[in-house]
Amino acid sequence: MASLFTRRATTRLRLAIVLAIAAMVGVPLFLMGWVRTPLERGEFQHISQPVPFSHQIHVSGLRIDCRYCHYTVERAASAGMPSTATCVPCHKQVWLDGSWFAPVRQSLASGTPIQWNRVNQLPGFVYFDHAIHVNKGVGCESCHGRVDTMTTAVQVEPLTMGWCLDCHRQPAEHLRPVAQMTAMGWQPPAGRSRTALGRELMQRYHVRRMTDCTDCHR
Amino acid sequence: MAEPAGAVEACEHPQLDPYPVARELGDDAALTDQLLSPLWTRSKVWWVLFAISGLLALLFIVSATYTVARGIGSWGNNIPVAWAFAITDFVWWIGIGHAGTFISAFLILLGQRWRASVNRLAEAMTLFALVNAGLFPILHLGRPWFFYWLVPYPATMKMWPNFRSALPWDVAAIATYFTVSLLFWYTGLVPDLAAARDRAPGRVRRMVYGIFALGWRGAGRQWRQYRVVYLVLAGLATPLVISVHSVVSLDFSIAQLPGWHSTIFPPYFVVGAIYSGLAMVLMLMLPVRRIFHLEDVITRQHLDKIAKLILATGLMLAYSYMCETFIAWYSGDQFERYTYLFARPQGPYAWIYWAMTAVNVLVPQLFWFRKLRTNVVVLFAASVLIWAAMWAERFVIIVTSLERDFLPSSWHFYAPSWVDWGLLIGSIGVFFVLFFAFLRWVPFVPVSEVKRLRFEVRRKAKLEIALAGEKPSEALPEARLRLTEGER
Amino acid sequence: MSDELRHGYWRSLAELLGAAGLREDALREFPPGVDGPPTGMSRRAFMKLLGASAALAGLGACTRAPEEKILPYGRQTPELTPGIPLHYATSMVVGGYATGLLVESHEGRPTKVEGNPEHPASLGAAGVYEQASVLQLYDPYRARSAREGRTRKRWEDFARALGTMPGAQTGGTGSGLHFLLRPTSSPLTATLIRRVRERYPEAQFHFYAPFDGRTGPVSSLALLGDALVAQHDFSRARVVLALDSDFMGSGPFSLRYARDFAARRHSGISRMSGAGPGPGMNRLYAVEGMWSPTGTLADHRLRVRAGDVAAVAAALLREVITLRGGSAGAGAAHVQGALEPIASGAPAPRRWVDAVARDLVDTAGSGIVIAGYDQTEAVHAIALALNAVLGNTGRTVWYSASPIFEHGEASHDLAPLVDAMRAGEVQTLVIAGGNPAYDAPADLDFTQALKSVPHTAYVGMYENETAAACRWFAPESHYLESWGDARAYDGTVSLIQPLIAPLYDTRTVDELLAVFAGPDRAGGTSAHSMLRESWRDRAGGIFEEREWEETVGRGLAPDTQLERRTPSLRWSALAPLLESARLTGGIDIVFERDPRVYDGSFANNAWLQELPDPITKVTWDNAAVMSPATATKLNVGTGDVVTLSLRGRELSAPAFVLPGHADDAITLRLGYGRDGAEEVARGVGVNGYQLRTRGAPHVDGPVKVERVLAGGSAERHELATTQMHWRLQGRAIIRQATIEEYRRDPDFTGAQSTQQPSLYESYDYTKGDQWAMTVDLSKCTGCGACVVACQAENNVPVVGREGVLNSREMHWLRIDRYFTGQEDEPEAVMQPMLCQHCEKAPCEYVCPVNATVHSSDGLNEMVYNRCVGTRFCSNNCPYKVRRFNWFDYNREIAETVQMVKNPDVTVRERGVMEKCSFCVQRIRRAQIAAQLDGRDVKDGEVVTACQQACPTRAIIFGSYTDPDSDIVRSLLEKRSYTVLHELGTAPRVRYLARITNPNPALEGEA
Repeated sequence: MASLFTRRATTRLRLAIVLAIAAMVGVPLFLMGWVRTPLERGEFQHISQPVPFSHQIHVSGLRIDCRYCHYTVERAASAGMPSTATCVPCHKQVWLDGSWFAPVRQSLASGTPIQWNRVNQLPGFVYFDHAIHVNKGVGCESCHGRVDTMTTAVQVEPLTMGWCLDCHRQPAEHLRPVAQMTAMGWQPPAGRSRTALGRELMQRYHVRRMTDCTDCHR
Repeated sequence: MAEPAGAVEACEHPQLDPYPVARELGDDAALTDQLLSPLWTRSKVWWVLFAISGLLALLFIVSATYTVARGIGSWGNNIPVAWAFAITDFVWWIGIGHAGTFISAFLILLGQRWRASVNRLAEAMTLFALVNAGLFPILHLGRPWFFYWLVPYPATMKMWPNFRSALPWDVAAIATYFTVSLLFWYTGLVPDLAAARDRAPGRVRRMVYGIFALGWRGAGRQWRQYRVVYLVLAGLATPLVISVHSVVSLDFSIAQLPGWHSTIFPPYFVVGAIYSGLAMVLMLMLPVRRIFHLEDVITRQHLDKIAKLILATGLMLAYSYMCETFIAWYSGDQFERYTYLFARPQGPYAWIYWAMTAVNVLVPQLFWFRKLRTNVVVLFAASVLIWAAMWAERFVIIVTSLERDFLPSSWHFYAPSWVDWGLLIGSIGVFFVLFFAFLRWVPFVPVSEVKRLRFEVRRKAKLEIALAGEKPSEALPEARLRLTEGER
Repeated sequence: MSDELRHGYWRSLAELLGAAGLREDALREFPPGVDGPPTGMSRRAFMKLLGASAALAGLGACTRAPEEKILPYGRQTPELTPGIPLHYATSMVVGGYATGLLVESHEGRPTKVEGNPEHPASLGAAGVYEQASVLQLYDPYRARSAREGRTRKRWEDFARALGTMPGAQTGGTGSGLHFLLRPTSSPLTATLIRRVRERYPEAQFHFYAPFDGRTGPVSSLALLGDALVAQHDFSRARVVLALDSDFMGSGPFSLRYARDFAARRHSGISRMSGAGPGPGMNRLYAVEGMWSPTGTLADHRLRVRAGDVAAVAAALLREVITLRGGSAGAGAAHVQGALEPIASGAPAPRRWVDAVARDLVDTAGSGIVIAGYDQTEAVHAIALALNAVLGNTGRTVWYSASPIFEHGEASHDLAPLVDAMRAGEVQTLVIAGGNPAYDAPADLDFTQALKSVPHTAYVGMYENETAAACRWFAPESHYLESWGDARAYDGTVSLIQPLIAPLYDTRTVDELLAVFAGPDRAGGTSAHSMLRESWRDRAGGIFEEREWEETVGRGLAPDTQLERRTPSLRWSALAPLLESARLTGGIDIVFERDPRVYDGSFANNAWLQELPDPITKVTWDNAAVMSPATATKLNVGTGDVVTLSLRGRELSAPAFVLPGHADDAITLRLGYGRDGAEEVARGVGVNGYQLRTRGAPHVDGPVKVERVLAGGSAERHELATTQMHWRLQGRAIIRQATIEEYRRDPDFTGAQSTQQPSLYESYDYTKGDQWAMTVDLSKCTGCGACVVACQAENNVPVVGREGVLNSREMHWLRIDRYFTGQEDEPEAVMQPMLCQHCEKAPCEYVCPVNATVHSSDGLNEMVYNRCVGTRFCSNNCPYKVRRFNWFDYNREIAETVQMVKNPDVTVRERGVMEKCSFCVQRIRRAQIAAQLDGRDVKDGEVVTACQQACPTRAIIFGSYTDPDSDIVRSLLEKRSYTVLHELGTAPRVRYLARITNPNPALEGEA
């Protein structure tokens, strides 16, 4: 009788088997890789805002300190978003009547807030406290990056639990004098390594490894 | 293991048909034809049965979907009884899943030839039981979509499973067991698939069987490699028979709950598993044997041996029951004592407790008598009873222990919801859907092995006659019997 | 997890409150009379406000949440820092009396009620009603707007309509104009009433509440010549006799009384065990029919029907007078005759009466006899007499004018009003608060009488039975939305200050009265302005802004207690009052206030409905409670439905068999069987008011009890109880001893307090904060304040009757109730049971995903977002304190109710485990605050919700690494022990054994 399969059949079958096994291993591996890409974590993604506010101009241009707007960062869990009223004093003279400022004017008139789009977003079950971090010598830059170079704010760190743990387990490298909290591009004084200085700061600020679950999840 | 020895004796016993395979079969070709015929013959009965199991399987799908959609609250579980039906079903199925590998792997290593004609069926049963066993733990999770957190993998949260808990090991054990069983079953299947390919009517079927036969030609080299692989897999599978259910038993014994916290659990569970598994093998085998007229392949001797195994494991189980209760009393621990001496025998589910004890301890005692060991009706009835009683045993272990633990204030009874029943009955449907599919499309008696077995038997017979060559007249009626007319 | 909502809420709420929009919507969207939970509308409104899309709620822990909005303030309020809660002082009025509170507010959203430490009625504690009141504020079934018939109106329309009603027109005399109010102690309300009376001389005011505690003032009116209420100082009482009085569990000032009693008891225990100075241990005798929280703490509890309490009291009085002889005073001797007939029938063992009388006499001058708030004039009179004879009056007991306006007067009698209504003399009836159509005496048939009143208007929080019977309805403000004032039981004037702008178009009763008192007839006058006005008047015209601010800040006006009075007793007046003391045969029925829904006014509060009854542990129901003996006699069991027939009125209720209940009596808690528009309350339990008549508001009888047969078998109604078994099975879970035994063997719990050997070396728990808790079983009354406090603080969901029936209640803290001793005369013991935070926790090692682990400061942490829900931890928890989210409880509730959630605590998703966290959010907040100041956490800085609420201070919490802390002192008490010690779980919660102080003369008696 006619042969059931062509000569290539065997090769094809073997190939199929190999592929199947490859898939079984490869798919999980791919996913593990994917969640480690900036794309999946939303890093460096442009997020449009109702008002084209430029951190670059305000921070590096006008040398306004972070705390002028994010005024509760030293005493409260949330860094604090500036109320619309905050913009007015300076902007009375400039821009206030510009078309960009329509949302601001509208907000001032109605008292309803401007709806900013969140850039650095943590899940609801994470209780991050700005105050304790900045008071223990973690600078704004450590998590928010070089805000002074950002025309529109972007997320620059993965904000994954692993990323938090890296610092919570080994704080030293990430510490700086509290005085330098809002400084951008801060470097340790010449001849001091971050680690060495960090160790010293850990002593001074009583910094501990905070790795209890309820430090962040409550 | 005592029973192989016992089995050997049985072979020599005159009254009982001494042969694992009857002689009144034509040549190999004819035998093959007979064993493969179910694959080509159409049958209404089959469709009916298949449809019924299909409906039950549907019930499973409905219940499962409802559970995932609404939450575990759709079950009867509560605090204190946080585990109930689902875990019972899980342990039950995985227990059943033990007989297959036991029969195939264990007995092959122990050189028990007779296993040949029943192992395929048993292995298939194992696989299908495992499919169910694998579903329940996942369904049972409060948030099943995170089941993969039980698997160790480098996560971005830098969290790992807790290896002190038995559950991650459970996952590993079941996964391994399923994989090995599948390979073992499939490897054994290859030559028969090839046989099916060569006999299949119509090109399409030949193609299908051909693909799955992986180009088996029956060449000497292939047979040699085949035997090696098969033995290796058997070697791998055997320890699993012991390990898997031991790990499962740890899900309970590592807890300090009275009724769970017991050192004899691993052997106790393994024995129980094989016990229930053998029961189900019988339960499935007897109808198949009758419907497909396989009395000559699956002989009374097979039944006799399986019954003996059931008797043996049954006795061990009875011993475990005794031991558990005795230790509970002997320990003097008031909580242990309460669970074993009050909660179980006198609590709300006392009737289940007594029913399962009665069945599991008494029914196997029937098999002290050969008549009953080979009586199809008795065997079937007994196996069904045991099959059910072993579910009850797991229910008693899990639920009655939880219902009444340390603080009386938190005691509360448990009552299953329709979803619980749906999942239990549905899972039986799932099993039979797979099983009937298997009967219809897969050679469920290992043709090649049966042929080999018969060949060996005959060769032995011829040899004996040759040796006793001088006086062929009264020569060895024993041996003559083993030859067909032609050969004499 | 659905807690994204949480973030959404706290970010937005400031706006929500600012946004008049929402309230407008609420008005427009809802058809009249409909009180359904806000659905489409409110969702839209919320989305508009917080921009957190509903999708957020559905997401699993690991998935990235979609885009979220940030909403800063438009204009910043100076005192407010987002994320840091503020506390404001206010007061809540229950039964006419104020309790001072501090309410926690997150960005203008009240989430948690605590007691005001400065307030005499609270001293920092808060009872179940106060704790649960915050949920009532957000109750989606609250009435949202005024209506006439079925047509929706605004408040202004309502006010104008009132002005046009007969008798109320400007210049009218007020004839035919009647007001029906709740009994009130508010100076402001009193002023307004007077002003209304000036304007309408013929207008009449009536006051009604089903439990108005008038028997006290009435009896004192006779005996002391003035309507006075008794005041007590339990901190100085060596012996207390409670005549059917639950002075620690319910009634005015109970929080304060409980604190004083427990403090004395504790110092007694520590002194007599040689562990400290302080006065001797007090002794409590309770005479009661139904278990009360107070009764569970009693050293000797005499189990008699509420109706027989008077007789027992009389017997005691007779005995005491005899013992005191001449010193009893002249008149005393004469009443002996009058006492004889009742006293002789007293169902109390001679031995008991003698012993107690002797004990009272021995401690004369430092004892207290207190009569039940709802007991008859007779009992109050006898208590009054006893205190006089014993010379307690003036020392531990004194009297003061009742803080309740016109308490003793006829205006508090409902009958004349109803007669007037029937006679057609009432043209206009304005009902402010209360719910007379539901809870008025059955024989008055108020609802029927209401039909003969042409103009009816009702102001209340709900569209309840009374609202349904009135033509005009207007919604009343919740106290957290109101300005006002009220007096505490001792008279202290307390301020009611709003925490939040009214959510709907509501007003207060004062604002209603202002419509009549003028000047603004349109009801424009705000309670705030009136309050300041009245204060200016009181201060004699001089109004100090600063002083006012201060008073509002403190929530009370200091030194405004009512004057102490100790008038001498008119013995002659005693005899007539004793007439009312009755001894009947047959089965009594006793009507009691419910410890959970009060008189029914809290019936729509799911927290209270699901709070287990302190004794029966029944939730979502009331029952006909009876003793085992009576049950056997009637051949009924728990859950069997029985018909109670009393004077031709019938009511069917499920029976509940309770050991320790008086025989031949049935206790029926009132406040259930509601039939208004309150969805939660409707159809829960049976309405006992249908049997309650004006003549016998407390005890009535004989009542006929019959099993209801449905097709041969008894008809049944399963009662959802949280505890099915009450025997200890001989397990050493509860430890107790008498003070004598304790003195002899202080180490009797020693075996249960040592460190258990372990194969694993234990973690070093000596550095930093190490949290621990003790629970004193000598102090716990089982009142349940801690349970509700925990529920409010930790966002614990409600599961409903079905859930409880299947043992799925979510309470992180439960109170186990066991009965010990003989079955016929049992003792009840309460044991709060919560996560024991075991150092060697059985739950931790079985969790496959490390979702429950141990923290370095000794907490057993439950990480919801890691939990996959295998429930293995619960199986392995010997205390069974872990709870599982069987369904998505938090998704199934209305948005308004979600506003009550505490933003500092994750709102749990379905399928995860949860349990007591030792209020870790409070711990971490305190630690961070301390760190910011560069110091360590001080003792008392972290207070758990349960500890804060506890009236008796039975719960103590803190870090044991601080040597000079309450927790260390309490851990070191010899009587401390751990439950299930033999398991070696090394719990961080230790229990202090229950020490009782029985009378040696009564050895072997209950």
